[in-house]
Amino acid sequence: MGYYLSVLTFTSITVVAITSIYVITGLAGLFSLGQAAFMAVGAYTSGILITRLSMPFLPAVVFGIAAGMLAAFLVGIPTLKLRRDYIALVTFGFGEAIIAILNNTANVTGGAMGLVGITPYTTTPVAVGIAVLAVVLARNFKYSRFGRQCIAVKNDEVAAASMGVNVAGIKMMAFLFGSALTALAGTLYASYTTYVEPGLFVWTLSAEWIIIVFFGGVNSLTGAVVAAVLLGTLPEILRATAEWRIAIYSVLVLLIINFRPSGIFGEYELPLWRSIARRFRRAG
Amino acid sequence: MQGERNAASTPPVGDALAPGAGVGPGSGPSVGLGPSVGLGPGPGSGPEGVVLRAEGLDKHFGGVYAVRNLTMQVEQGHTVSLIGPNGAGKTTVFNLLSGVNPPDAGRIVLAGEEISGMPQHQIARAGIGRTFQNIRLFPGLDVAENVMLSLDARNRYHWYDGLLRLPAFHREDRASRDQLQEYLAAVALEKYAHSKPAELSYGYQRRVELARALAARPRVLLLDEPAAGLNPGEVEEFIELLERLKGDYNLTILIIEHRMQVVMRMSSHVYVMNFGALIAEGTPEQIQNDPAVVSAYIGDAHA
Repeated sequence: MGYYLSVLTFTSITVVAITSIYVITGLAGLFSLGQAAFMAVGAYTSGILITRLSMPFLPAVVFGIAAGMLAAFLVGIPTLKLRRDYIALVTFGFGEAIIAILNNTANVTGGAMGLVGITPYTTTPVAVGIAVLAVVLARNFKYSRFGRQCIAVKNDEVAAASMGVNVAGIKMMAFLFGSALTALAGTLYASYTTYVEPGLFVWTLSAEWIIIVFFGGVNSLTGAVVAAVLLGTLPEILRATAEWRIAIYSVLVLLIINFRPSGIFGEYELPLWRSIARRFRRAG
Repeated sequence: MQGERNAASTPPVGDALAPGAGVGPGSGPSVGLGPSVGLGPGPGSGPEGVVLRAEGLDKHFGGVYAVRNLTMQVEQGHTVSLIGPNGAGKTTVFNLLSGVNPPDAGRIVLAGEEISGMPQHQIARAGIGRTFQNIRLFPGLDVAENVMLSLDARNRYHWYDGLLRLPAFHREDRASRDQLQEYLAAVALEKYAHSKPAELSYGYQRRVELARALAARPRVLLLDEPAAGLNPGEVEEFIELLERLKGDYNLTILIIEHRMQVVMRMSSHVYVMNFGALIAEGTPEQIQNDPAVVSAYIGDAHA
């Protein structure tokens, strides 16, 4: 039982992270190969506040998110003005730089040894609840003017600006909102495993997230969530065949990319997303 | 209004500019007319009738001048055409006016406010609306969302209103959706609100683009070859649609068009460009008979 709960918790944390990638890559069309570093910022900020200052969970999470957004803002100012292919490269560089900083400030972060003894505040219900909250927030974002502006900018920046969209502004907004969610995933992670080390958050994790979003369908939040659950639990299910799981995982991804380039869900969204909103409106 | 316009802009039109294109010395009488009246509508005058005025615009890409010393103006409620052979620099003029590219020299004034040098989205919000030569709808958004995007620029709800669906979001979102219906009805596309642009015919896509530009409530609407790719019957329909919308929304239109059918029917004033410079301007009738224009299109040689 404990094992399944732990899989469920890890999957929930992955869902939060994937939701952030959906906002940044799926909506705004920005490829961040350093996104995992913002998870590290969230994890380390909350972890340090909890271990060193005995801060309670909630404020630690808030500070973790704030630190993640601050880091994203600083990375975003010089980066988001670049062409899209350069954004991937530069975020990659910044991400690795953040990891290097964590490695080299051992007196605060524990360096390569990691940060240990974080209070295990993240229970399974907390993780599942926050995952649901993250998905609802991303859904609201998508169907607000900001979500439309993100998609417009992803499709055609010149045409979007001609319709009055502040291209640089909406990119920054998507990047900040996404990175807040990434950092949130980090705070959950730190307070679940009670231990974080810089090596967990290198670029391969960022790349894996992008793969998951494309697997589900880069234009579908439903697809991103389903893919996060599928690919998040798959390695666990396949754990018995340890040496084969990466191969099976890779074959699955290859099949999708080849036979359904728009991902499992394409642009499909569960009607639920909209009907909940409608019911809400009628009640309100 | 009409009389004032004629008094101000007719004299220098047909003749004064055509000599500038190369016949200057030979035409004594019109040179005498030039200084006295020609200065009138020049830099000094910015009467309330003129909504958009461009003065001395230059734009070069590398060593090639795409636009050179271009001065033109559009008056409230008028439809003005910009014509010229392919590669004359017409679309570059639109890109300068709408801020896609900043001009290298010159200034652009919209309703008394200088907009040259402003970021593109602020120029759009100041009141320059436009369509594109190759329709540029957003393929990831459906027809309704494409039009909503223009309305969104005027919405003022904040990010937290959107994320948490606070009352401000619902209020403004509902208002936008009501207006959306109006604009979709204006181009008779209500039925296709939830279609993706790629699912529509070319002519319908043109109408979506028109609705999207209208929804931004521009002071001046720039239409870049709106009738391109339409068959003759569709062009007739399109002209009727534009004329109706022009009346309903009190539009001021600057239009680039190759179809003389559209230019002659719709415009009150025509500017002709070639090699980045204006070579003539005047009423459609004057332009049709202008030798500079004829030679620009057909060439000087007698084949």
